[in-house]
Amino acid sequence: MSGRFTTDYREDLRRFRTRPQRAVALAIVLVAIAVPFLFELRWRPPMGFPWSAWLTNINLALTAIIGAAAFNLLLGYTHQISVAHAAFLMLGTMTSAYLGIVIGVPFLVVILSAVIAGAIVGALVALPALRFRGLYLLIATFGVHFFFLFGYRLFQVRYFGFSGIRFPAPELPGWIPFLPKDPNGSFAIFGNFRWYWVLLVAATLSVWFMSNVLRTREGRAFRAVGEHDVAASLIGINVAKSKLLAFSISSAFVALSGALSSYYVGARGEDSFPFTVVLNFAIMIIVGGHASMNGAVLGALFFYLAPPLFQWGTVHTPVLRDIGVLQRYESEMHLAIFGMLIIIVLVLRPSGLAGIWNSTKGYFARWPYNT
Amino acid sequence: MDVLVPFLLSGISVGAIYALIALGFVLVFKATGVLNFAHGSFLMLSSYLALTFIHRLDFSFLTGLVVIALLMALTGVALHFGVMRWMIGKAFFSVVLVTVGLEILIRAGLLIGYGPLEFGRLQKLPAGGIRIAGAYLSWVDVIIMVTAVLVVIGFLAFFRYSRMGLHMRAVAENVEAAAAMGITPNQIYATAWAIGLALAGIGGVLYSHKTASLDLNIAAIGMRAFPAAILGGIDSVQGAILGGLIVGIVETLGTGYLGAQWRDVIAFGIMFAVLLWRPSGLFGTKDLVRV
Repeated sequence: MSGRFTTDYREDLRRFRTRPQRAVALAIVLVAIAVPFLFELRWRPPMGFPWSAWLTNINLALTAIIGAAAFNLLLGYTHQISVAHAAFLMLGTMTSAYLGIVIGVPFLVVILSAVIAGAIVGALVALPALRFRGLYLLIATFGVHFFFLFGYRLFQVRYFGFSGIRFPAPELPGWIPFLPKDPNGSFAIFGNFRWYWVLLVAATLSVWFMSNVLRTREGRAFRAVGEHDVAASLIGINVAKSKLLAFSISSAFVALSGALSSYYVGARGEDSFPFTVVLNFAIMIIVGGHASMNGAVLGALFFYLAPPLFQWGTVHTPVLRDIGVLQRYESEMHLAIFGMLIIIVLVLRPSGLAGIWNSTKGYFARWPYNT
Repeated sequence: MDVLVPFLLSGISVGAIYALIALGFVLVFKATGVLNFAHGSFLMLSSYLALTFIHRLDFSFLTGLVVIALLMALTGVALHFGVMRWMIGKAFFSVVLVTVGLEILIRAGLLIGYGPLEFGRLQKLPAGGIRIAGAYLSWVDVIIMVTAVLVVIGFLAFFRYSRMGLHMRAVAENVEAAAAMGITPNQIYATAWAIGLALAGIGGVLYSHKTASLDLNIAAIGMRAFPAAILGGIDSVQGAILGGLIVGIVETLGTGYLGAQWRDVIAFGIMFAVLLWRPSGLFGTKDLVRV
């Protein structure tokens, strides 16, 4: 009972079926457009809330949204427990470093190449997935992570030395409409404000693409394979093809996320891709809500926007301010809070933030007939 | 040839520690079905506890070992009744993520308790060594090997001959039948966690005497349990021991001849090769589903 009721097939086939859905989508678009202007206001909020620092976190969250949505496609819908996620982030970084810096290809081409490289390599990594299921796939992709890490380190040392890869500010060509042009004719992307628009467009298009994939025949095949692959093969779904496709699409977008975040952060080193990166993404989609695109988006936003909130909370709220342990060991306490939060969400509310969103919506949709 | 024997001996010593870790890991998996991603963190925790008890409070090695093993066993019981009990029956990956949350908590706790700087190796065991077959074997390695052998023998005897061991094997084979026979699954799970973490604890205390530096990277060593357990068969107790030894030896030989950066690749390369050739490992049960 989530309030999404349609009355004919044509309406059912639409992306935004009901009036409330369209209203919510419009509201989100308006908020998304207003956000960077709000942060430019240099308003001093009460109690020293770190207003302007949030834009950095929002940009990071936008890159993570692409990665989390892709991870969700693989893990939540097709139930392929693959922890090779960081391997594809590394692939995106390597492709964009090689093409963008060593060879000097324009930014748009670099990004597209990262996507294509991710798709191809994703299909290759999917080949073991055709043989393993569940636990063994987890362990096999665990090994894939370490192979890629080894390759990444070799790549970095060979082309960039031990100090790491530094990404220069990328430029978009001048022929794209609606862009204000710098003196040299192109649009240099530096500064949080400009990055926000680029990342917003990338994230919106990616999430839209992926959620549309799920509405197609192949997408339904993903869900079938995820539920029970033997049964799916019995009803005629080509399980191997579905798995390859799922891995391919997911890896393409993870590589995109890796490339964009490398350019945004500006530098990548030998220790930029520990295994904890994969666990962070897993946290995002689990806390956000298993098997829903909403969940991936909410989870990614939560993961990046909550720490500054915690930090501000422990420093400024009257009671917590006086607890000495919280002050001295700030970052460790954040880590501990994250750990506890994961455990609490998993034990008490497995449907996560998206589940909370759905129950709230359902409450209002059913009102006053709530139980 | 003169390089081979020292590497081999060092590899056996490292392999003994890996065998203990893998044994604890496989025991927990076999009894409860939980893939404990926090196993490495528990190893790290016990290494740091060894720092406190053996180094700072100046307990003797044996006392410290016993105390820490008991502490970790209690932690295992608390862990089951406090957290894992509520996750019984939930999706596999969710349970794995709970252990990830635990890992984060332990790391945060260690950062708060001990700080981020690294400590040196513990020096409690006698230095020096003996000469065997022209190679030098330090007392530390000897004691590690002897302790590991004794612990493993003790554990296998317990598992095979004691009543509780029988109950654990019954639960691992078929929970419902065991429950129908009057065995309380919760007790068995708690025991499995207790013993698994105690084994990790002993491994951690031993490792704190062998490692070059005692810092937060030790958790990664604990993840060597994965390749060892896979090689041996993820639900086989004997396999875990053998797998740990093999991984330790091959890894030490490999890094000795090829260089230190190959360490991870070798360990996981073994794992990958085993998975491709024979997913159930050397001793595990075969899982026959082909789609």
